[in-house]
Amino acid sequence: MGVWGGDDILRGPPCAPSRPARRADPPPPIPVPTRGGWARLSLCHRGLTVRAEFAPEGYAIVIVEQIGRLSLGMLEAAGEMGVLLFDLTRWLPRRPWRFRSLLRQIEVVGVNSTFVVLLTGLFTGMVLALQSYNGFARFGAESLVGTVVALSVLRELGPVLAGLMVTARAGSLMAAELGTMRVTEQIDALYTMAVNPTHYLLVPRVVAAVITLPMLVILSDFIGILGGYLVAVKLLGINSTLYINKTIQFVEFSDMANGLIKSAVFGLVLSVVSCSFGFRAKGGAAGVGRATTQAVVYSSVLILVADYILTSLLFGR
Amino acid sequence: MIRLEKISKAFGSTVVLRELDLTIERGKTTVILGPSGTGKSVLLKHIIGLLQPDAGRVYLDGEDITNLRGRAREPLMHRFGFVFQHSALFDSMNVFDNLAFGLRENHLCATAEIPARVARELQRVELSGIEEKMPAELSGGMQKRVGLARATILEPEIILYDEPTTGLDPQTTVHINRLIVRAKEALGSTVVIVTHDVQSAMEMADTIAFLADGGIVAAASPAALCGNPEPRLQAFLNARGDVCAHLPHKLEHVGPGAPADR
Repeated sequence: MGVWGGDDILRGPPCAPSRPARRADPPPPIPVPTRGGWARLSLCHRGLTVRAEFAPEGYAIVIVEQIGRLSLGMLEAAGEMGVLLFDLTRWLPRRPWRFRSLLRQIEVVGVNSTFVVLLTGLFTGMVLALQSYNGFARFGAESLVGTVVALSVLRELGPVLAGLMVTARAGSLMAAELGTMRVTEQIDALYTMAVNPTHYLLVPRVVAAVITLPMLVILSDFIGILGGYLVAVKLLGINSTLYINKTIQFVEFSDMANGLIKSAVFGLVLSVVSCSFGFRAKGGAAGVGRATTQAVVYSSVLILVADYILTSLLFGR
Repeated sequence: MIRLEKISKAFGSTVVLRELDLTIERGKTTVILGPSGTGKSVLLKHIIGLLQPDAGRVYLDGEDITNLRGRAREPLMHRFGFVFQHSALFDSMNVFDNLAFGLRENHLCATAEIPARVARELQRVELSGIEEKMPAELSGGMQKRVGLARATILEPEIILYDEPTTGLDPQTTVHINRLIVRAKEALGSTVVIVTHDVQSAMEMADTIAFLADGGIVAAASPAALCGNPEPRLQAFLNARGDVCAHLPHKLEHVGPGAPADR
């Protein structure tokens, strides 16, 4: 990329002191990378010449190259995930059913994430009440705060935030654990002992995530609505009966059910993505680190994308 | 009998194996010898199916097993044992569960029998009484022996060893070599060992296959190999003095009782 002439800043020849630009002055030259040569930029700063040089091949071409590499990488990752998903559906119904592994993963993915999901849910509900009160008070609709809090939490924020928190906690764990098993050849060892790694390692993780995420979201929904109620009624002084009535009047069961469907899909997304990156990690400790980061980033982004798609399918008119 | 036919394998632009042919006799010890980075481990992983060749076939007793996958491959995997270079013990399980894992998963014996079999297997590798330890608590040499026990407890027909003594001190190396021979004699299995340790190769091999530049340059008994004038082979054999002048005795009939390196 650009090479800034650091030495030139110190040793550059004296030049005319800068003066305020006049309208008639031509605009300063913009370095345009040209093939096969260097573009130079020379500026006068506090009486000294400051030079900047840009190597063309390290500029435009690198950007194109990076975009290409990124797209290929994403395509490859998507392909791997597709293969993994196909493999999972093939191995899911096969015996032996590993209930012990499943329970263990439910503990890891679900039980251990409970506290952080509850905390997120609570503060989400509380801040929603605060924010919507602020807005609704401007046109005297404070009584609708309860409706807004409940709808937002049930339909959107409960599932999405729980999905993101579980990605951060359990998705990263899955990717790091499987990645370490991969680079230390433990996954190969399973294979050589006639145990299918997909069946043994991945099926329990994915099933556990799909089962537990909706459960976590139920808890999160409940405590989020409770948090909203506490802030609205106890702190902001909205009438308790009015708040509850308005909530019940406008919120339907389908709002919650659709939120739960979403969260099950999020569980599938985060576990498949995390397992996929962990499963094909390579290159020692650095590789495991990279796999973990990618797992969390891709899971989070895909959860948000899936959220939009599901919302338009489930709630769309 | 295992037969590899015109196996080629490349990783990206790096060609590792080039139309490699190799035959491994049933019930014999075949050592794949060669400099580091010539694809010895890659070759071994092709035999068991951890890697697929870009071209070429792998035959086991005349049956083409190159592309067998999933369920179709499972009965085949019971016939193989694999000892990994870095042991690859399951670090979330203790030694007992590591050894019991294959027995349980493949229902090879009744649950009540498992402790006795694990104990017997640990005794064979002279590590009795460490069932409750975690792999991380063991020394490198002990991990290798547990890895060996984990493979042999399943009583496979064919055992593949990936660099079993790399990175170990000479005394432990001798010890592991004795255990390998003892396991072979107890099970009557076919053994394939990948190593760059000339001395160990000479001690154990019925046949040494020398791998260089992606192909088997020579495959013969240790004594016959010494007579082969191939320059790459001679340079490798004699890099640290003339091994062929004093061929080590073949390790045979190794009963229990060798000193353990606790």
